[in-house]
Amino acid sequence: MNISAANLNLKVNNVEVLKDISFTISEGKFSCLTGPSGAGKSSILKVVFGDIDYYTGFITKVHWKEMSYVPQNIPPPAFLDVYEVVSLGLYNRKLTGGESKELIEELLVRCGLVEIRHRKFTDISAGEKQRVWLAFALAQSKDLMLMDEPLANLDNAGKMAFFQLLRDVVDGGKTLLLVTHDIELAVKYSDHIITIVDGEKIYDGSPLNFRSSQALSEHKVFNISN
Amino acid sequence: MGQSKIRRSSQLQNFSIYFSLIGIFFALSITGVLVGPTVVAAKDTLRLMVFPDAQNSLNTIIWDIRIPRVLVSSLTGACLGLAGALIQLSTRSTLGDPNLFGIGGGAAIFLAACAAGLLVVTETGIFLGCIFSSLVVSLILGGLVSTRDLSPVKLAIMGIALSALMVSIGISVMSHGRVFPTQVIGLIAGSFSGSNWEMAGYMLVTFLFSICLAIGLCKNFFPIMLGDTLSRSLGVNAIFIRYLAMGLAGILAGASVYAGGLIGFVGLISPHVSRRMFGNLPINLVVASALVGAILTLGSEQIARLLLAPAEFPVGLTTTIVGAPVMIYMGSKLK
Repeated sequence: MNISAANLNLKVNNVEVLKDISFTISEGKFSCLTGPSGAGKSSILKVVFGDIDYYTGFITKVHWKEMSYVPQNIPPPAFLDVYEVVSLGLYNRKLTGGESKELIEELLVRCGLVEIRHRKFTDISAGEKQRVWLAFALAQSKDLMLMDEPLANLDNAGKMAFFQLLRDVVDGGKTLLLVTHDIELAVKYSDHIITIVDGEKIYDGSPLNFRSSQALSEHKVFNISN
Repeated sequence: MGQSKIRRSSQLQNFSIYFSLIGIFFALSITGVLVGPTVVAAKDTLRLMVFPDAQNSLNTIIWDIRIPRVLVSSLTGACLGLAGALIQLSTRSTLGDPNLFGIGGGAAIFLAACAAGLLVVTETGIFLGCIFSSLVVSLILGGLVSTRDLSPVKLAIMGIALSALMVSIGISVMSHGRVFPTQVIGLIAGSFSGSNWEMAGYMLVTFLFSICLAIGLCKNFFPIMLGDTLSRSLGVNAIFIRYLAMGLAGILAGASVYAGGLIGFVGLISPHVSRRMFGNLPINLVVASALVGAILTLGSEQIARLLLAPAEFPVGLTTTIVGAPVMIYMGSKLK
């Protein structure tokens, strides 16, 4: 399923957050939403997920059964340990006990959580928490994954490993819409980049043309070294 | 960084903990029936328990005073523990307690109005009135915090304010009506001296009704621990579940105030004790909280009844003396 947005406008407290934004996220592609802080990237994700319903314009409606969402600032679950949070991703999935266990083990390995599996969630580091949320999202195995800067607290090696992991997941048949500040990695790993500045779309296209885009240099948003 | 304190229990371990808890519960129940200000030989008590004898004056002490008190106090404790678990599970607040959050206060105001003679109702009317007034408060509180991703701190602040308001309204009503001080203390600090069979029956019905519904809700509580947004991505409407759980907590709190007055901290402590013993699985938390609540209240009731016998002090005093330090400790651990 493609996700289409047409003429999206959004006002929050009388401030225009999104101005007439249209885009299409293609099925089976790795799409990145980039732009400076406060540009409206997270708002787009919230509109797609259905957290915000006071926009005008059109957006493809997606059922919760078909999308997972990793927002920013998830309230930390008190008492739960890493294993429990990851296994909650399997909630409402019809798996046998054995299948669940196997899948969780695999995700713990893939996301580098084996060592901390029995630690309390509130006791682990910010980077580790983000890896837990990634594993949680992957456990849901939904067709569309929405992620809001899920890698901000990882070091560079960790980020690279995760972009590769996400690339593999998309190649396995999923659709990903990722909000990220890591332009270099987005250019390297993704299929499609949309750039938002002050609520306006200034770039929408292939990562290959991203560096040479006229619009970007006019906005002087990114210092991209060629 | 603190080490994980999460218990990961096997079925066998869980079973043995449940078994021990039930054992403690029975030991306390037997104490409640065998021991009291009037000395009755254990042999006579046991004989009267098996063969009630209406001609014997001791029969009244056993069957009309001690046994109803054991039943009412343990059922009240079970209701409080269950209500605490429901509030804590549905709101992610670690400080959830029906009486600290003013939910029981609704029923206290109603009882105060009855005691002051402002309302004249039958026993059934009092019971239903208590349930209804607490239900209203719990739904008001639920409404105040029904925004998506409510913060537990917000709930605690509003709840504590609501609680202070309810208690002061209740006291005002009673002082206006010049209510006998013992009655005021029994209501504000908790007492089971008025227990009878009718009360035990109402409490049993309330408890059975609520625990069945609570067990039915359990499946939804795990995702709610991740917040409302992620719950929705897992297909659980957290706000709706929260209203149901808060409403149920209101019914339980109202019934508990009807039976024993405002008994603090049982609802707060029971889920934490249960979590230490059984881990995070909601079904265990719900069932064990009821059991632990019953044990705490029945135990406190024995202390309140026997420590200074034949004088009694309010049962809420014992629960608070234990509960307040626990809450202070938890506050110091909060991040």
